Order: sequence, then C-alpha cells, then structure tokens
Amino acid sequence: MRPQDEPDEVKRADSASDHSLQRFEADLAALSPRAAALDRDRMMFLAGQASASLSPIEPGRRGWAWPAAFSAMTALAASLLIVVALRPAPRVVEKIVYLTQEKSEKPAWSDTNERKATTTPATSDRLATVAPPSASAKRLDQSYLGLRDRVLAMGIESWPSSRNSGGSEGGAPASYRDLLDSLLHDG
Amino acid sequence: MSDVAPELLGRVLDEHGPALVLYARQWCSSPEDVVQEALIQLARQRQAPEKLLPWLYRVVRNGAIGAARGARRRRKHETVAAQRADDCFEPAEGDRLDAAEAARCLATLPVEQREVIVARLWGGLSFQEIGDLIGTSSSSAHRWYEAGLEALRERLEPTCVRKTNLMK
Repeated sequence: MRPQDEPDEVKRADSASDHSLQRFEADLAALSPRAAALDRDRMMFLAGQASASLSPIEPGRRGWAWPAAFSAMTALAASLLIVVALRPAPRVVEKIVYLTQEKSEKPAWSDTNERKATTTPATSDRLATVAPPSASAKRLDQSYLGLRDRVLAMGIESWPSSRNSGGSEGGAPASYRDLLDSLLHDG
Repeated sequence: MSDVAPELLGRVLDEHGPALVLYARQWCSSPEDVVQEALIQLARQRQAPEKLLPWLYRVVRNGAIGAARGARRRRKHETVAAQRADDCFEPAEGDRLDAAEAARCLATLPVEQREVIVARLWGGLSFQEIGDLIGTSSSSAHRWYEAGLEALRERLEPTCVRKTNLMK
C-alpha cells in the first residue's frame, strides 16, 4: 500500500528508523479499517443525479451571460429614468414683435397681382400686430378691399360712419350703420 | 455530463471508502456523510482529477473540518470520535495488535499525528502528498508520522506482547 515515490529525505529517515518501529508499522498497517457504513445504492443514485444535473454550457461561461445582460438593461433603464425625471421643463418665451407697415400710395385695386402679393402678408401682419392707422390707410379705407381688410382685422367697430365717409348722398342708406346713424340723427 | 464513470466511483468506494471514513473520523462524528459528499462531488467533476486519491483526501479533509467547525462543536465531536474509535478497525484473528485497543490509542494522539498516520498507513499517500494535503513539508509530515508511531508503540507494545502470550 505504501507508495514508492518517496523523496530522498524521507527514504533516509525511513532507513534511519529502527527495525522494531518498522515492524510495528507493518503490524498496524495490517489492521483493516471497518467497512464504511455507506449506503452504496443511495450514494450511486445521488452521484448520478449530481452528474446529470451538470449544464451542457462550458463551466467558465455558465451563468454569467443572462445576469450581465439583465444588469446592463437595468442600468440603462435607470439612467433613462433619471434623465427623464431631471429634464427641465420647456421654457415659454413671450415676445412682442412690432412690424412697420409699408407706406403705399398705390390704390389697392390698381394691380391685382401686386395686391395679392402684398395683401396676404399685410393681413397676417395686422392680425399679429396692432399697427396705428396712417393717412394713406385712411384713404384706402374708402375702397372695398381696404374696408374689408380693416373690418377683418379690427372688428365691426372700425366700420366707418356715414359722417366720416360722406355717407350716401341723398339716396337710401348704404348700410345698417348708416341707417342707424340717420335715424338717431333725425330723432 | 460528468466524465467520471460510475465504475470508477464504485471502485473508489470499495477500495478507499473505509480508509476515507477512518480519515474523516479524525475530525467529525459523521464521517460517512462527509465521504459520501466527497464522492458526489467527484461525480460532479467534468473530468476526473489527475491525482484522484490526494484530491479525494483533500475534499474529505475539508468536509470533515467544515463539519466540525467551531471550537465548542469541535471539542464535542472529538470526544464523540474518541468514544466511537474502538469500532473503527475490523478485528481479525491474524492481527498481532488488538484492533479496539489500537483504535483507542490512535484516538488519543494529537490530530496532526493521527491525520498523517491514517493518510499514510491506510490511505497510501506519500509524505509529499500528505505535506501538500495538510499544508506542510514532507519532512514535517514524516516527523509527525514517526512521533505518532512511536507513541502508539509505547502504548500498544504491552498489549501486543500480552496478545502474543495468549496466542501461545
């Protein structure tokens, strides 16, 4: 039972030992340890169970891929949540822009194309801004298009009275307001 | 699946099971459980260890020490182990030593000497392997072995002589 691959130092120690100790050693080695009280069948069953439960994945790679992916996705989700939670609310800047209206001596009806080109932005400008009426604008008020634009922009109160506009000359009132003015004036 | 064949497990159990149980008994009172767990651990290996016997003794040693961990528990288990020591050898007619007396005397030795003697005599490990197993040099293991043998001889020689006289 004794192995033969002893180091030299041990071999020397063995050779130095007395023979009686070697004989005692042999007598002691002749004693047999009592048979193990192991349940052989149960042990073999458990060993087979342990052997079969081994995963086919390589031992070095087993079990780290999914936890790593889970950790990475969790960290990403947490980062996005923090970014969304700490993002500043969009700032609303209110700014009033005054636009100056171009002075135009031409009547609005003189050139249809030019009127189309200029009226639309002028209308939108008027909608966005409140521009003081000018003298040329007053003249334009006399025309139908100018009157229409003015009413659309400033409301019905901007409708010129018959006194300012000269009204209807001797005939029937041109509008409801002319009629109302004439009735009030007469009354 | 493991590469450790069931036949190998059976052979290890038959040839080395009793010695492994005797070795584990030096620390704990349930050596069979420790050896069984060691064999199951062997079955879990993808490849059989290169040096099977030293590997098994190391696993059994770790398991037995782990089972007897704690100073209080350890003292208790060593006492129990000493009490159970008289039944750890098979008595046989041709033996010159009394098996029960030898077991009792073995249980009185320091655990280092007991460990080396069991691993050497019944485990068949070399002193180099024993040194690696218990974390010491082969010469230290040999010194413990000789000291333990000497102590055993002093205690067993009268028994041995008495038994020889009785046989006559």
